[in-house]
Amino acid sequence: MSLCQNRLQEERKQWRRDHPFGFFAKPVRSASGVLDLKKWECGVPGKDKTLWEGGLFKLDVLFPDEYPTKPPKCKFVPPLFHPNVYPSGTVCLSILNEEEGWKPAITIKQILLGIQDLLNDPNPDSPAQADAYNLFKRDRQAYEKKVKNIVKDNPAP
Amino acid sequence: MSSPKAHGNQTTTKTRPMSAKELERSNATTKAFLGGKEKSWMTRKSPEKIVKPSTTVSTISISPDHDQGASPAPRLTTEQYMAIRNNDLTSIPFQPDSYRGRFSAQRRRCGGTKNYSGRSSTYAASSASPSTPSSPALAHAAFPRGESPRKLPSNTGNVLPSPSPSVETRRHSAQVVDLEDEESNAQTPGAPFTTRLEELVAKYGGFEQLERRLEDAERPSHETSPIATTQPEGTATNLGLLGDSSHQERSQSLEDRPSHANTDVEALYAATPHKRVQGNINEPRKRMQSGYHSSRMALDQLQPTLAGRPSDSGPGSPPNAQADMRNYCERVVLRLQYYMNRQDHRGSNVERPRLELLRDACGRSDYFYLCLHQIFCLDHRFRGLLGLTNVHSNGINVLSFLLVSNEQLTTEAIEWFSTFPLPFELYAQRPAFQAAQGRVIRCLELLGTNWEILRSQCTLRRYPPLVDELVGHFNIASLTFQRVVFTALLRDIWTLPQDQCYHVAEIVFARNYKEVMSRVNTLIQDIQAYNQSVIEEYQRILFSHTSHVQPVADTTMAPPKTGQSSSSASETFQSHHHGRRRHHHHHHLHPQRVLGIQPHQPLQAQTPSPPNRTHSFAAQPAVPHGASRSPRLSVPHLDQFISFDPTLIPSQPNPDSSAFHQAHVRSPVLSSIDFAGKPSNITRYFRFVRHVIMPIEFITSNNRHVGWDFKIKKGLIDSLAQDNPGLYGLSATRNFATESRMCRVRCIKLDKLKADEFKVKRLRVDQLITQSEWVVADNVWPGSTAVVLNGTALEIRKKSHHGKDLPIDATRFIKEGDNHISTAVIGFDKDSDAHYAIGIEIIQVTDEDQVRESLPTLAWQEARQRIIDRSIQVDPDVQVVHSQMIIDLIDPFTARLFDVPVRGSTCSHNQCFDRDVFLQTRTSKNPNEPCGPDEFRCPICGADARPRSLVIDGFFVTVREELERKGRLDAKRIILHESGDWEIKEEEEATGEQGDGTGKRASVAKPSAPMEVIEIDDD
Repeated sequence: MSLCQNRLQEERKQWRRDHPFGFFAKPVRSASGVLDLKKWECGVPGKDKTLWEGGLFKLDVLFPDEYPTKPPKCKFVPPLFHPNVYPSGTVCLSILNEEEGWKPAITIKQILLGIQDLLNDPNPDSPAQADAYNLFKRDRQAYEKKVKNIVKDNPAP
Repeated sequence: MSSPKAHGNQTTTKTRPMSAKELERSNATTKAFLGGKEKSWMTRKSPEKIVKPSTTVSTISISPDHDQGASPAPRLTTEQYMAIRNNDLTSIPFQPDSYRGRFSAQRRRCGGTKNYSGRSSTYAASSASPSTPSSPALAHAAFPRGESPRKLPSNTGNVLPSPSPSVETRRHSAQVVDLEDEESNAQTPGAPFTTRLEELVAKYGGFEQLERRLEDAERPSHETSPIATTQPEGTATNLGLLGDSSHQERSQSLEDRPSHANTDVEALYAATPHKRVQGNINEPRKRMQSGYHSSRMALDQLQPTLAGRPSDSGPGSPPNAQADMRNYCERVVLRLQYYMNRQDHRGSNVERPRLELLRDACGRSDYFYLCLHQIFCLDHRFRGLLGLTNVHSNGINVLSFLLVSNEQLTTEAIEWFSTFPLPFELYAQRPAFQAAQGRVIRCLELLGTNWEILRSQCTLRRYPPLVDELVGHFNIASLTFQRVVFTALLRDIWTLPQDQCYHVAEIVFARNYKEVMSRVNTLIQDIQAYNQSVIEEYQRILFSHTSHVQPVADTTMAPPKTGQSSSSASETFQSHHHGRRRHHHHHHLHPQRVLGIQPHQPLQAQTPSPPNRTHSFAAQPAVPHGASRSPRLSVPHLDQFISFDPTLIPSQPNPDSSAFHQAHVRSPVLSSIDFAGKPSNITRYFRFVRHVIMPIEFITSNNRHVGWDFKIKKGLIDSLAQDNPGLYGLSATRNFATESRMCRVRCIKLDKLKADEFKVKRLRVDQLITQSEWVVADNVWPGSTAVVLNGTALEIRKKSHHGKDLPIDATRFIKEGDNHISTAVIGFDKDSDAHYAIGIEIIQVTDEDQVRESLPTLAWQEARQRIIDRSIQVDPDVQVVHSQMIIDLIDPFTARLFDVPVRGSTCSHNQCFDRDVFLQTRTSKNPNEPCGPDEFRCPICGADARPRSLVIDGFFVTVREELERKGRLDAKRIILHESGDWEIKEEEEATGEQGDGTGKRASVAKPSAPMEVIEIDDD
């Protein structure tokens, strides 16, 4: 089995053994019922005591063949209104960038926790979408209002 | 090369940082220079002032001690300092040619290599060689006039120019020619002017006497010579461009412009300090362009002292630098005028316009042009001996086109021109010339590479170059020379019958120049709009003349006032150029034929552009510029570009398309060979950084120019991978084998923590950063960076086109022995607090077997002790319960127990990774190439994990052996007790299918956190 598959097996075991509250992460099952370890469906809850509290945001995590040398791609489905999320839904986060903070030892748990942190702590220095970025920069009130609506639309169970 | 060896105490790297003390001293000197600098020389109205007896200076400027007279110990003036900084970029390739014996002996050796002296921080070092004294002063003493190697007393007496324009003089000039012949037979350069001058001085009893005689000689000629009568007006005032009223404005704008401010030292000279001090220039102004700060600061530093300085030099006061300078300028004009009057061949088609241009340049203290012209003539005179490279020679060829080839001049004229305004060896005493010299060399380079491109662009778009283009593409600081280039190009692209249109265009040019000079914090949009309006004016002129409409009246072109003055200016100018122009048509000098330069030379490094607009000529197909297109390429206000809307920039450009214009800078394709030179059968090669040659100084917003020397041993040069040039446009290839070396240049940025540490401790780069820290730092090129390694400008590849800032391959540019790198940054980033360091990395090729065999093993006892020690050091604010620690045993790639546990020697975590898996995963993006040097980073923490930094952890080796004995290779963690004993940490079983994500609350401890800690919470 390839390094990638090996590692993902272990990641899955590790996650099932121990994962943070409110999150979920599981490999998708194809139509024929086979587990595809390289595509996971995950959910990240908004942090307590933040704008995002009470929301649960779903994302696909796609692992390349070179994983864990290369980082997985995390994509909100549907795309999320957030300054550091590309219009496609892809998350722009340093630890998910091979050139920046990615290290092979980073686990899925760390990635999802990192994304949770990012929700309420956007990085205006590397904006990924114009809508959220501009609103965040220019009209914080409107931005917060919009976020609250999004949380309402994506409630945690 | 004898001169470098003179520095017996060389270490591997040495630098010439400008210490605070030196800077202080240099400021003191500049103060002295600026303190009394008047614009009298620039704006003087009457010839009487020129010829006023020079009473203040009793020693002529060539005395090397005159600087000391000005301030306590001013070896290094700001002028010199600037010159050095400039020279760092260009490394003046001139051999002082004063002492012919030495010169001719060194000639061959120096031919291809860079001259050492150009970079020395003080000229004391410049001529240091075992056989010669270490400063011009000493050199002078070592060759007193009687002993000058090849001087025949009888001869020299005759060669001296007569102090008055007499018949005798002409006879003498004939003898000069004789001497020149003699000299050329002997293969030696010309007579040192110093010696002649000294003899003159001796003859007439001191310089004052000599000066007076010169003046006397000059005075009567006013009546007879038309040149002489117009001369005093040959200043800026008359030309209407740099009128008196615009002085202040101009000087301010100059200091504000990054491209000028750093280089235009003469602008500081030309500026009127009194005015500036009185004006509110000290008052902080809001500026949008951070790039100006350094020059601005330099000025601000000067001013308080300037203001406090007692206004200087009455007669009788000791000669100081500024008075000397002023007198010197006057002497230059005297010399020129004297020569012009003396010439009986005034009709010469070449010499006359050349003289006019020189006078024009003298009139505005245009050291740049004087220096340019002198180098041009020197090059002709001592063909190939100046150590000019091909690029420079191309520039010289362009000059031959612009100024008409030196072939047209008489030997005597060449001789005279090449010692005007000063014999070259005396430049050491003239900081202003030194500064100019650096810029001239740069300009020659740029002319060599960019001339044809600009010319063909102009031809296609059918309007002449803008001033911004002349400055940006050729680094021309001189108005005189800008006009020469402008006129030449204008006449080249507009082949119109009427002269009228040329006149009008020159007026537009004059206004353009004035506008550029008067810019203060102009917004880029305004500059673009202005340039567009200039272009439209040119187009209107052309249109009105080609369609046989009445020429556009001057008044519609310009506000009446300026139009008037520049009209007369351009007429004067016109007359200078007509003769020259005719002449060059006559000779059909076609630059294309003469130059033979590549039409698409890399421009990236020369015309620093903002990151998101790195287009230069090379990137732009030579299409005609539409009317809507404004040439913004070289607009100096770079920082405007940097504040772009980041949302518009894709975070990951595709270099294959976005960096196509830099395809020629790609590293060669690597191919492995074995020792027999055949393709190797070793499949897994790695490249890693074996050693970093760090600079000493950081590049900061206050210190944007850093240059330093380093030594490369022969062994390294011999082991460099060899390149095969790519044929027919294919990429070059590089053959390597195990142990091959390569070299690259990289720039790193200090993180906040280190930057703060630096601010406190002021350490050298290599004291602050370890090699391990260096190699894992990202490559970041600040602002617009220029890197010159051994005289070659290296092209920078930036993130905007390549996805990330790329290091520069410098394998081809290093050489055995002394190497010099100089770096300069303009357009500093928004966070001007950044600290950068540009260093040389020596890269070694290795293979898998070699790495495996070379890894050392850390003995298990020591390894265990380190784990325990580390647990204590982690964080002083955290109470560590280290009676037991939980340590991961898994390799991050496989998530299983490692086979051979290795770690980076600088890692601070306990977890190891597997050696073979690590090596196996070190791959290159290109499967045929060995793993790149930046891949050796710890998979756990990202720290340095180069083959030479890896160690096998003996403790985990024993743990694994023990586990194997117990048949427990499935173990993931162990618990290490304080005693040093350990046991397997048993894992709880997963809680079924629901474990993917249920409401179960779990601990949030990071898996890589090796120990259980109890934090003492303050709250």
